[in-house]
Amino acid sequence: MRLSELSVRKEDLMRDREFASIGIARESKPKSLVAIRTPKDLELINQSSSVSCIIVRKDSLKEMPSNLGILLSDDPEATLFEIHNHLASNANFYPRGKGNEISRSAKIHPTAFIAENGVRIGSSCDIGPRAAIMENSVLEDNVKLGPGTVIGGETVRSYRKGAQVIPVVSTGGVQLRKGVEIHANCSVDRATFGGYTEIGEHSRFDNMVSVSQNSKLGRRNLVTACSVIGENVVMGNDVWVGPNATVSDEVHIGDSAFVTLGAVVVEDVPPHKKVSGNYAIDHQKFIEFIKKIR
Amino acid sequence: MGSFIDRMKTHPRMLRMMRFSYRLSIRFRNAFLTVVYLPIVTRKTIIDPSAEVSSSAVIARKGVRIGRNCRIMPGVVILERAEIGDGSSIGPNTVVSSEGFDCFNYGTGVIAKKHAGAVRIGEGVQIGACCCIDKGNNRRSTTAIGDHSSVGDAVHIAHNVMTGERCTISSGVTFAGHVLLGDEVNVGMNATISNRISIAAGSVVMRGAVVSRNLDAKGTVEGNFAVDSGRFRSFMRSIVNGAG
Repeated sequence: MRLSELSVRKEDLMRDREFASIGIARESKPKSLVAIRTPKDLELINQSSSVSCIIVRKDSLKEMPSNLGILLSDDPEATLFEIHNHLASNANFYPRGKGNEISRSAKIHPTAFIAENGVRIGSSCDIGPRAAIMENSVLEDNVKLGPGTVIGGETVRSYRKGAQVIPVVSTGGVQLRKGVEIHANCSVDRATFGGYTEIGEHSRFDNMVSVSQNSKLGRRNLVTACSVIGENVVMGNDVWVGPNATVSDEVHIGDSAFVTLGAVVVEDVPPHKKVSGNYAIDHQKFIEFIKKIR
Repeated sequence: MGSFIDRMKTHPRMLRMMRFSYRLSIRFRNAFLTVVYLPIVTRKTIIDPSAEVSSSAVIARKGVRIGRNCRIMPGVVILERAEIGDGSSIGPNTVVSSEGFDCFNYGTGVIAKKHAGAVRIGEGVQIGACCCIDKGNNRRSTTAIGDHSSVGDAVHIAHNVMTGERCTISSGVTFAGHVLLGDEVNVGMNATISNRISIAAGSVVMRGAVVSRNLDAKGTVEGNFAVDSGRFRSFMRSIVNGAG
């Protein structure tokens, strides 16, 4: 797909290039189209080799790298969403799953809901009462879902076009690896711009955990109750996320990190680090501070 | 780097031992529990005829007892080993007696403890929508909600939590395991209470507080992590006014 194939105004199209996916600056999707929202995005794009096209405001154009396709817009993110919504019905750009593949050994409660298209359920899976599995969800072997859990719901995003508020269509899916266990009333959202929200082997979620679109979680992560994990989060292996913790969008968390209860993580957490507080900082420093005011 | 105990924990031999002993204990306990608990679990579910149960509620066939004049709303899931007292109501999509979260990561996999306890909801308890109440983690322990308490929406009550009578728990509250609340405790919206915490009768946990220490005497706590409300407010005032 080339930028010129889209229905954009000619004076906005600065340089035409090919793109194969839609993504964000901090992700390495091959040949991606990316919206520039902040100056930080610009830095990331200069380092990345996978981005092929950008949508950008005119006033931040001066420092552009030379080899990228450039589309001008007053609101880059809204334009990106508009292009995505336009392409969502294009089966070549976002391939669609065909039919369901459900193993016979999977135990599915009669009140559970399973979508009619693109669901794969591996052997010995256990789907609880009133759980819902939406389109493009892949459950590998031995996955367990508790009551009321929703796999493949849509992350609510919208953009404005004049006075209208238009929702963004989700086209991706969810991948739950072997032995993932999810308890009651959780929700794992499907990726918006194609690809998968991934939960690694043997990860366990407690009740009411919510994972937003396109997050990639590693193996053996233990996420406790009511935690919220934002969009495009990348998590290593063996991470502990405490009760009611919040992990902000696009944050990277290293292996064996420990997020304590009630923490609000807004910055990257290096491996083996324990963070707490709102906003989360090093645990030891935080405790010393609390002792002062206690 | 790290204390002696930390270093020991990462030693491969120690890890192997821990993994082995944990597995063994779980295996024995589970085998034991199935034998001891079998007669109770196999008891048929009893629903009092005066209880109002929605047709879309899912109630396990064994080990549930629902008292007089209870109201079970649409979409409620009640699994084995739950007892609901007279006159209680349970809001839409609430899950009662689900499996708790007790996991051990031994490096190459995770083992979860199979829960064998029960849930006991007292008389006249009001529970909101989309809550989760886990069962106790071993056969002698129960998760209990005291009489005439009210619980808001989207509240998570983990294994072995015991609340006193007439407690008020607002929406979005998260209890980690083994929390003990006295009578008439008031927990504000979206508060979080750490595991094995006990809170004295009549205390108030303010909205958004993250309680990480016991509250031995009646008081009010606020903040993340929670400190005494008066101190928290004076600290906040010092930030706002730019003092220090």
